Amino acid sequence: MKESILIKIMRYFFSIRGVLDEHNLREVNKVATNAFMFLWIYTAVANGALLIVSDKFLTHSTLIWFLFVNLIIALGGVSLYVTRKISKLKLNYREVSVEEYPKAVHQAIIHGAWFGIIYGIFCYFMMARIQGLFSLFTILFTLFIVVMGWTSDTQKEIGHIVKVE
Amino acid sequence: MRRNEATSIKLMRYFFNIRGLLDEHTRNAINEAVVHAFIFLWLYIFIATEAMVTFSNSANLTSMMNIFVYANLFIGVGGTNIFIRQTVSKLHLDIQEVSESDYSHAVSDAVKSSMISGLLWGLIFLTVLMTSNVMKTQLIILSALGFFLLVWIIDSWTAISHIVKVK
Repeated sequence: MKESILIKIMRYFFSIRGVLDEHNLREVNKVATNAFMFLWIYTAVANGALLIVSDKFLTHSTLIWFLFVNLIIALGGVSLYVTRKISKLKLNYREVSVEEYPKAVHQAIIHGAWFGIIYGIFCYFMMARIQGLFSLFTILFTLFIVVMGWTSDTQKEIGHIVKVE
Repeated sequence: MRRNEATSIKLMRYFFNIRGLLDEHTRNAINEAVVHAFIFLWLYIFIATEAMVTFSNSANLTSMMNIFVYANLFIGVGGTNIFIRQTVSKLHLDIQEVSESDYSHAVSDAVKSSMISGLLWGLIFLTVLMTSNVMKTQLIILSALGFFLLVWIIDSWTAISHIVKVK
């Protein structure tokens, strides 16, 4: 079955490795519906509230806090919810034959590399605000995060590859 | 059937005007649209928040924040709302089929739920105007009242026009 690009993106970000048959697809849809409704209402309420809050409360630190709460609740919370549900459905396991195993490991390493790079870019811009764009600390810290993200994701991905006879 | 529906489905029915019966085909079509909307909204919030964290500084934060909030409401909330409502409309799920005897009851329900919607929007409009200090208080109250009536009338009209009598 041909999957749309958005389902592929969902597979990538929420580590969906298993086959999406009719039952699994229904369950994933249910999870996505819950996550969407939460995210949609949260976005409407949080931004609406910010719009009606008086200007005197909108200090620099309040706005920075708002952004971080946004990142933690809207992105972190939703990702955690979806990933946990996917894990309960055991869709984060990939079953491969013995011959396909090395190829799957190679793909896991590539996946880990992308994860590390995206995570690294994210951290680079966060650190660049504090330390400066070309600071040695920012660059070294970013490299550290890339390597950390790469290795931890690769390890997790390989741990979820199951050899079947 | 509707009583056993999950809370998220009930919320979807309310916010996206899903009035029809959700059988397997329509449920799958709606689910597909929701998955697309979810991924879009999730990625959008991720990119927009990351851009704000990166490019805002204390000098331009307030103006950037205004753009960010309005963009979130229009693109994130409004965009996905239009997309799902269009899917609902294409599937004719926004049409409520009632018998001739139930018609008056359905119209009365539509007027009541539109009034709640109007009250909510009127309150939001009132709060926005009160905090922005752009007009005199009497004018603000009158404008909010006008907005409430406008939303009530438009919403009732839309809801009633989607009620279909069946034999």
